[in-house]
Amino acid sequence: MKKLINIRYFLIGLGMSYFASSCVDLEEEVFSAVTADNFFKTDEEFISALGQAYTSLGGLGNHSGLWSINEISSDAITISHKGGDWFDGGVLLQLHQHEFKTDNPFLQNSWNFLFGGINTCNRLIFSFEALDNPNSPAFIAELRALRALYYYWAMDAFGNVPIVTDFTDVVAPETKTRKEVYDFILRELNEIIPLLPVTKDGTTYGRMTKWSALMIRMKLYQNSEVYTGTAQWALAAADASEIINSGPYSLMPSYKDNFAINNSRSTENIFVYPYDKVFAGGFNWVMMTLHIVSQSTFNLTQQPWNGYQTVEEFYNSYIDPVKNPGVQGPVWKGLALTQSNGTIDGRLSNFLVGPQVRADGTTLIDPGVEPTDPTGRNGDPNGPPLTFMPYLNEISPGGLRQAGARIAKYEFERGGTNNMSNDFVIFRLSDVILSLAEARFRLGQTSEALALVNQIRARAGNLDPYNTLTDENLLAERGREMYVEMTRRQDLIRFKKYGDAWWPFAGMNRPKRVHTPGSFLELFPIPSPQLLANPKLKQNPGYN
Amino acid sequence: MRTIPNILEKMLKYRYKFLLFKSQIRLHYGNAFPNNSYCNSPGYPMNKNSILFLTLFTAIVFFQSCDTKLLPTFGDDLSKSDSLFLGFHLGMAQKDFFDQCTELNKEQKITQGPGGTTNVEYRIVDGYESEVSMRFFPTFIDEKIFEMPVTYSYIAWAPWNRQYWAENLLDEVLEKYKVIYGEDFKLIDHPTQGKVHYKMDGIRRINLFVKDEQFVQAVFTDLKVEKRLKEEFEKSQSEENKPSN
Repeated sequence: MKKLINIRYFLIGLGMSYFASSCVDLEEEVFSAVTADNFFKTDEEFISALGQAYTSLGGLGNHSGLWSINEISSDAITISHKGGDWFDGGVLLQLHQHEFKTDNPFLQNSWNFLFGGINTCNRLIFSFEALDNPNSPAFIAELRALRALYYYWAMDAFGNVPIVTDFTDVVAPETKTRKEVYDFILRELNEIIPLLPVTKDGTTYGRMTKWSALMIRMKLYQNSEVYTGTAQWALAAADASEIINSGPYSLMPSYKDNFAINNSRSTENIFVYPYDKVFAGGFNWVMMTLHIVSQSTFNLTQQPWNGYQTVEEFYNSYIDPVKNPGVQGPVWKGLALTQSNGTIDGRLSNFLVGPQVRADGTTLIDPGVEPTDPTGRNGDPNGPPLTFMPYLNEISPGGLRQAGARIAKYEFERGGTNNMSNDFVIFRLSDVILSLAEARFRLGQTSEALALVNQIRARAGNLDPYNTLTDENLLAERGREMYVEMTRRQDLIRFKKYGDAWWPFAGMNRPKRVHTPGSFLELFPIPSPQLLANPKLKQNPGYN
Repeated sequence: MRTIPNILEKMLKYRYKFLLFKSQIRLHYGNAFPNNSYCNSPGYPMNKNSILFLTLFTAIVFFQSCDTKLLPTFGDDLSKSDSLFLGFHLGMAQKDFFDQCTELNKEQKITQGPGGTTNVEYRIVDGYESEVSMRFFPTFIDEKIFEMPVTYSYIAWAPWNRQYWAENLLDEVLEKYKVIYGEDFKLIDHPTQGKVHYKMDGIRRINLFVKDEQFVQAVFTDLKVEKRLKEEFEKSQSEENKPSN
């Protein structure tokens, strides 16, 4: 019961930003001033205050923030300009085509998300440091871990960012190099990892633990060559091994159960954001990806937005028998006119493809469908019945309304609202296993690496084990397993594939920009309003 | 004995009190808030109950501990002051809201916002110290706009850009609101929310306050619908408390 009380208080704190304020009955005790003497007396009060630091993470499941810039700039996800919808001033096209502009609002939203989270951590650290309370050091360590997470994301996306740790400091900071930020994060993690809890239970669910902090450090080491120029594969392997061998996590028997509506009992999820459709909203994927009339499929309270789509090549990496050998069966491909044979990878649960129906099983009609074109190039090949086809005809301006496999990784709730209640997975054991595999591969320990990758393939279901490991199939396996978990852009950069041409861009009128490994485009530009507001900040090289 | 800085004091106050309030609500709502999971169970309350709870919660926030003279009185001749902004109004049909959004999007005046209550984004380039992001999305009751939460933030906000913190933005938003909605905004010093500027015209109540360092929050509420919801809530409470035979 104590554990449930603790997590309940934590979630109460987590939901605080959802409400204007709170109230109690008319006989409340009104404080003329809140001081250390009349607050922070119990663990529950600390946890309640901590909740606000975690509430800042709620922006992850939104549209137009950090998750969006990472996924849309990758080869997995796009949002095509569909007639009058989704042009949005060209900002989405910029992201997918790698024509990043300094005034792109998605970059500004991401910056504000990251530094808003950092600011909240700094504020709470400041207040906890002022207290002479035995609980303070543990909670400060937790806040520093959370702050390290925000800085890791900022360094990964923007590279050269300022470092601010003092809430009371009003002096505008200057830009630090990516290496300086990397070193700062590493110092922080090295200091606090020994201080963080190791248990996995209701008291630590959704909070930073030793294992989630180790995960951040593992990611630093994994990408160290990109971040600093020096590879650290042995250190990455050591952290990954510690999480796998000593951590309280294990692979779930079923991949998709990690993303179910009620996924709080996953043994595999290491760090999550526990969304709730009433008290901790903001997880809007059900709106972001589904078609407008999909409202009738799931009896949703609101119409979805018909936005996010999977790039066809990426979807095909699941069903291609050569690239992903396994059991063959009927799958939807291309125009989705009929099913044909392909690998029935158990992780095809990631997608919503093929004909869609109402909740009662009857045909669902898209009233705004384009005129029929059997080729799918200039019109919908299936006509009015709603059919999600993996084929993407073009990115702009005539993207078809029913084009693209939709993101179904997180289970949609029948009768759901625009806010989903699935816990959003930030770190997962599967990523650790694949990261260890990659580290071993880079260190020449190929057979150990192969075994780890095949462990993931075996759990996915219906797949043959790989006989050999290559850069190509390792990257592809990471892609299939970690789809839309905000790792793809980072993986592509590390594997030197981020600058490749992808999508059937060849011959289209809006090609993706092709660039070489190490290009300045592997960093997003610092948003221009930030440079104007603080002249000490420097733009990333290569951008105006 | 160290006093915690003012803004933290406010946050801590309301957070602590929310703990107490939540425990009381749990007694009333029982299974509406399952104890064993913060994820939805099949028995999760219907959406309208959630809205009812949130609405009453919000209403109580502003009125339960304040001067009762602030409570609106509902006469027989409520005015039609229901307008919001950008062609939206309280009581607007849900379909009309989405149609209006489509038109504004085609005119490139609004874009898809992050989500939740910030689904729609409108960038205000002129008229403020610096460019401002305005985000909003209504709460619908009976498929009509009942409430419209709105957030404002400077695009150039950052922890070190103190000139762009919400406390400064609030003054600017208030001045704009006075021009649009009338001069007679009143100020209350709410025990948990701090300074709240509010105005009531007919069925429309506007609340305006600092949400945190980054955001200013406005809430437009249809008082007629709020009154109805409150009456329904009180009725449900009295039915719950009736002695069983």
